[in-house]
Amino acid sequence: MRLCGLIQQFPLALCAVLFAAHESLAECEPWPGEPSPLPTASSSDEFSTRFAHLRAEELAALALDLEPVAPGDAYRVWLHVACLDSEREDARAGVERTAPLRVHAPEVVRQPDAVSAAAPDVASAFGRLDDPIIVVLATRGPDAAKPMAGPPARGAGVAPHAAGAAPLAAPKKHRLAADGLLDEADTLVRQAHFEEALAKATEAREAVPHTGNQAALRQRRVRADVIAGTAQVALGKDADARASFERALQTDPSLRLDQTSTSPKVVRAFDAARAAAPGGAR
Amino acid sequence: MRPLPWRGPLGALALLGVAGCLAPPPQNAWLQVDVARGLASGPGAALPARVDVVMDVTPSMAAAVRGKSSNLDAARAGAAQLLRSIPPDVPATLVAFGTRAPACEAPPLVLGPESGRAAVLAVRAEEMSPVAEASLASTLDSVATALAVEKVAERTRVVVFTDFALKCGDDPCKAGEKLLATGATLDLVVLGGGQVPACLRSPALLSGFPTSVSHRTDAAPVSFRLVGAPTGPPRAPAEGIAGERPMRADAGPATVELGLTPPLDVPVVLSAGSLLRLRVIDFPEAVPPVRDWLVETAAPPADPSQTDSPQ
Repeated sequence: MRLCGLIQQFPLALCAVLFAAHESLAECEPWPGEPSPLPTASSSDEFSTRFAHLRAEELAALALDLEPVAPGDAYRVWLHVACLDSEREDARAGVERTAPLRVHAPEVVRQPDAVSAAAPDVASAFGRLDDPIIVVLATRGPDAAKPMAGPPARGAGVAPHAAGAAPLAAPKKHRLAADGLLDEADTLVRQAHFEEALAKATEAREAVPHTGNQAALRQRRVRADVIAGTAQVALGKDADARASFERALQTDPSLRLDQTSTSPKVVRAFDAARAAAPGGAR
Repeated sequence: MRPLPWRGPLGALALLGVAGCLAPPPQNAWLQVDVARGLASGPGAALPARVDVVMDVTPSMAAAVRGKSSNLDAARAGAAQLLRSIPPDVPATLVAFGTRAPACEAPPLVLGPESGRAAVLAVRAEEMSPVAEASLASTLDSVATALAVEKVAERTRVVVFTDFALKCGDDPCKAGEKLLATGATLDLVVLGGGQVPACLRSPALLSGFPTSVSHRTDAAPVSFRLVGAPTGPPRAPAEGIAGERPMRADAGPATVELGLTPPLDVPVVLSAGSLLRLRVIDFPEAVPPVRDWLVETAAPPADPSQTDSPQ
């Protein structure tokens, strides 16, 4: 069996994959349009050898194109390349790279700072699944461990920390148009519709009147700014997010985010804004 | 002087008749044509149809490991890291199980597919919180069903972040095999030293002719015509199909016209009592393109009934 010779040079895991594939692919049978029996590069017939080389070459090129797009197809093409020319090193590596089921057991590393993401790239994204997973340590101030006053906002994960501060949502009997907008913005954040959430939060902030219950109105502004900042973090608008959080902190210097329900990335952006605020992190 | 009778039209006819009687009848030869073709030109590599990121958000994932970060922390970070690596033009889906009650019954939370919003899903991945135990098997099953229905499985990569501490549902093996049978690929990112079920380590893999190759393979056989050589005696054209049984033909010089693109004419000399085998290689997409042929002579077919008559 030709595959046996091939497999002798493979790592154990790949052997298992090839054996599994061997059973299902009926051992190097010609595909439609190919001569039967399937020519191989080791054939004594020069013409068959030439065909096998040419066919393996073009299928290898196709497999490389397919890898990031259709790895399942690429896997089967690489197996066929190995059938045509068992000496090709790239076929062995290709089979290994594109196995339809792969198990990764990455190391988990904790570090205090976020690692900037590489530019989006499908080909390398999956190649990094074995790389260590970086879990960023939350930077929590001494106050953060205390329970939050009032119910945390669901999506934005914000909670007023000032003693006696009013809940973020005003009582229904005093609800303003801004409250409805903030609820919508909150829902949009939870649904990951961040552009719409940002628009609603901005609209809500502008809808907050400058008169009336000043404490409640401040909370509305804080809530709007935190929702906007959260959406801006998600959208990669880091400078805008920082400005939103700084505005929120100017309105309520004692503001803290609920770290149990807030994305660590949002918490980090918020903490950076808090550290830069007058008085720094407290 | 009176012209001799054999110099007129009657004489010519008589001479032709004598010549016809004296010339030996054409002897049989056989021709077989085989064509080995490469792939036809096809569209350039497209983008993946989809990336599905499946997160185990069950309460067991949230337990911290030796006072350090939990498997859920790792799943959040790993899923977010992957989602941020996906280009905006590749749709991504975030599937989370364990985020809803009732335990072991609630369907998974499915966000997407989203195009251009993978970073948005990354933030959502970072926000996932455990609510109740849920089934990995039924989650994989539902992902497989969705991919099959949407006919995008063959170009989809599914990545699962889990610790395999399964408290609900069936064995994930069947669902895993169902997912692989759709043509999707499956990456299992195992957290916290979890054990992958043995059956998932040696699944039955999808077999068959890949669609990406079949789309570029011309299934129609190559036809050919056997005609007289430009400088040879006239010959009634005969048609055949490459790869089929040998064709019986008159011996003598001829030209085989192959219906390739562009057409290929091969001069041959058919020898009486033997089989001429014309073998053609045609790789139009090779760089540079390759087209070559080889003529071999062999013994005639043992059973003349196993030959095709000229058409």
